[in-house]
Amino acid sequence: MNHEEHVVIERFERGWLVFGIGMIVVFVVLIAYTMANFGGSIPVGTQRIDPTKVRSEGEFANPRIEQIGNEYVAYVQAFAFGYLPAEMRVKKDRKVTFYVTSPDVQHGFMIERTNINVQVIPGEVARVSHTFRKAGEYQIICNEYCGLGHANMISKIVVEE
Amino acid sequence: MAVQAPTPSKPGGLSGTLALIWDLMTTSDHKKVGLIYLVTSFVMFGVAGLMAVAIRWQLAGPDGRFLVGDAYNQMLTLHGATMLFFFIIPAGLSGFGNFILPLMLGERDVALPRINAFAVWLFLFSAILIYTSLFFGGAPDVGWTFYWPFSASRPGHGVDFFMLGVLLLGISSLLGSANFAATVYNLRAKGMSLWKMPIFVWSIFATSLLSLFALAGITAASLLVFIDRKLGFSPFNAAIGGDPVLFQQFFWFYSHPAVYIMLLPYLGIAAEVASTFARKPVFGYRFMVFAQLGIAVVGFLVWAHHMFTVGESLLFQLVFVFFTALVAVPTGVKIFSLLGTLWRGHLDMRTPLLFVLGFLFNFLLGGITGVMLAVVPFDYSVHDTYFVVGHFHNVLMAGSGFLAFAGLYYWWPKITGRMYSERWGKLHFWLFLVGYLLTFLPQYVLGFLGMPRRYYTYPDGNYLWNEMNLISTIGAITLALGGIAWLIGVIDSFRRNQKAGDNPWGGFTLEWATSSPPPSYNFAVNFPRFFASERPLYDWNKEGLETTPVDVRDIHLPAPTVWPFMTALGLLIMGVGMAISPNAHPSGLSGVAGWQGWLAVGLITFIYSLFRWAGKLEYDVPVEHHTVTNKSNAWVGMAWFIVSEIALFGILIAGYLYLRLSGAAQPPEERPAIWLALLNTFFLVASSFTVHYAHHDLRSRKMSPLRFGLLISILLGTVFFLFQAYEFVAFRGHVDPAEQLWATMFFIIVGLHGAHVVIGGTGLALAYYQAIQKKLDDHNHGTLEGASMYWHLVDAVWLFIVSIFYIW
Repeated sequence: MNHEEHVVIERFERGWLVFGIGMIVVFVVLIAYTMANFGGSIPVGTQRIDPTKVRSEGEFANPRIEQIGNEYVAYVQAFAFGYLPAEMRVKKDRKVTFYVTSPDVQHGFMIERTNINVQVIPGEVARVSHTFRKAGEYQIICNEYCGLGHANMISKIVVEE
Repeated sequence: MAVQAPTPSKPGGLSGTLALIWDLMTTSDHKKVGLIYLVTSFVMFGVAGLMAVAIRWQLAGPDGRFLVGDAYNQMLTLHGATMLFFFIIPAGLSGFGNFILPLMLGERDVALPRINAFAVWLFLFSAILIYTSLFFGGAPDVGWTFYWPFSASRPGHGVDFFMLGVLLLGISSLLGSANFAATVYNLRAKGMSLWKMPIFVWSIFATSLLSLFALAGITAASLLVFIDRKLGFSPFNAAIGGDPVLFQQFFWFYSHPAVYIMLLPYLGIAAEVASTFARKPVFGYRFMVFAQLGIAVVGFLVWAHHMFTVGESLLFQLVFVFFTALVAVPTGVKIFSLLGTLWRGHLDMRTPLLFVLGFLFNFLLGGITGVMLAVVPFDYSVHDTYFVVGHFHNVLMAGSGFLAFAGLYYWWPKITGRMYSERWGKLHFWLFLVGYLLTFLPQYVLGFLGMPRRYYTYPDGNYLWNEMNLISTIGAITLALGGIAWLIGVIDSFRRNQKAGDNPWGGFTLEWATSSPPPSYNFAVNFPRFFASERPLYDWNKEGLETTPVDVRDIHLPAPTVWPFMTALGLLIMGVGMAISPNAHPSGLSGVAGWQGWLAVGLITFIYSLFRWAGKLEYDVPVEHHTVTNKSNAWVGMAWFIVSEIALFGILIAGYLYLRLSGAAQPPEERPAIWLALLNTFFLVASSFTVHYAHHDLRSRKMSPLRFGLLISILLGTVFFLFQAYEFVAFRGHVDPAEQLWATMFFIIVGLHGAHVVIGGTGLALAYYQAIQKKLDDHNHGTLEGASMYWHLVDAVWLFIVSIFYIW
């Protein structure tokens, strides 16, 4: 390989390296932008909780969904094997904030056809929110492996007009 | 063994299979050790593959009844654990690594042959230990990830066996890795610099460093789960302020770098195969090496991308997105390097190369879906769905798995001395490729359609689910047919018995410079000291350099001994005893009758064999060894091993600091007395000095002061241990570690240090025993050297512990 060819190839290499690293930066910036601005569906660990007392004390002893002004707040227990409340009803186009925790082992809290997918860890309360734009039934399923009844952990949220 | 008298320790009257087994049990030949790894891991591949077919059979249609509930969960756990721990990790790193690496370096053995033999048996026994659970009430059913508290809550002893198996496997893996690192450091053909080593050697080296640094994560995770099950306290327990997420941090700190432990050796194989069959040197050798080391470094910084849905902060997640995207860069370099190697080469389309080409295309798919998963918002959509299942099988099956077979076919003539049939080999490849595509591409679709993983069944009526699952099952059966084709090919190769030449493919690395299969002493020649590139055979041919023959009677190899095997066996028996002892969690799980017996027999076997091992010199005749660094092999091996110990204490202490600084772990009113700790500090530091002077006496051949110094050190260590035991009992009397987080951390970390005092003290006792037996001199002092280094480590860690647990 003569010198000139070498220089050309080196220029190519440098160009592609810059391009490659540039793309990674663009990639990360885009993800950061999306997460910061449309990040409601990102679960946030809000507080610690004693998993042995989830069923008897505090907000989760009374699992429910309640309307506060124009929004909904839901306190959900994911347990082996099921969810409480077993069914939730909301109106569409209203923001719903879920607080989820578990009294026993880890579970999943995934709402079909949305971006909500929470790993529910006993001892932690996860918060995640979503606004349902379409009426209909959305299934909630568990996708953290939790034992024998893992496949049967199903609940639903009904979104009304 | 001196070459002219093979296997002298053979007890009279053994013949045939028994003699072969006895030979394997007593060997320290790296090729036989490598063979045990290879045979075990490929058999394990078959077993776990059949489990996969069973799983797919259950999922072939909706509402399957073939494998329901817990049977499915056990099968799933064993499939994952077996494939990862007993096939993908050992086949490339330990199997091909042991067989090929010393050959490539032009050496007669590895740095620590008897440690290596111990490691291979421990590996085999850890597999046996996990499967032993089937006879004690059922296999583990917690998934290979054994998330706490799920793993702590499972009834039955399956999880106990699993945790102990993982711990023993970890020890085996660390010893094996330290041995590789020491071999690469210390034993290379004269004239071969680091930058002239073949790519495969580099990949084994990088992988070994990766395991030495990372393994602490899974050791910590499995140890803490085991402690929780047996003793009933855990730093993850949120009821006392512990952090349940910490388990996942520990676990993934190993288990993500482990993905690269599963990949790097195979990338080395791919480079060797591509270079040989394209008849070109590896493209961008230096960058290939940098890329490998780059993967090893960046691989450490991506673990939390397994935890995007846990609820960590935005910044935390973004950092891991960045590094996850970044790790694709060195991986991309490797793919380009492979393409560059193949580009315009005269491709010789044999089975190994076909597997490499199959790898290239499919691994790229797996890599790209990996980058997709790094996009957090996308990850929420598919986390724990079949998309993820498709992704990691893409990387592991069509990535590492294909290359494991590329390596197997490539080195088959060298290992067995026979050629294989290209016809069966190619049939195997095509069935695997088609089967693989049919199995896993539909799983991506299923992931998009929302099918979650780890469900043993699914209902009828979901759009495309039935069809996709059926195709996937057909693919699994095709893979099984490919496995049968492979088996037939193996049998066919042995039956036709077509002898392989020394160098059937025209390779240029040193393993092709000896007969197939290689003799026990590997080479009966001295190599030229001229190394212009990583392809010495090519360079020597070009320069007209010749090797000079050596008289085989001058070659000495380590003497065979059965004691490494027996030592490992002792640990296996002990492991069974520990697994079936009574549990604290889940409450009411009592022990299996006779567990004390298992424990006692195991312990006695272990200790007795260990001392017998120490009492037998490595060589029957005194030999001088050349090492590259002029440090002894024991020194370099122990130095690398200590890295892993520091990592283990580092990760646990980091957990403690986190809990302490976040205010969760507060010391109780009444703490362990500081005066006792300071007194103990004095004992331990003093013993470090006595060991140092004892070692000094050895160099000046003053044997009597040496023995005295060792004895004093052992006594000081014993006093330390007794004081600490007293302190533990006293502290336990008024604080329950199950109720108090600081005490939990105290008992775990200080207790682990106490265990290290016992291990280090045993090491010193071994050296003392050697001194009494007159087996210790300035040629044979590996045990003393290793033990004294270890003792200094124990000392240093103690100073750290005193300051963070007693003074702070």
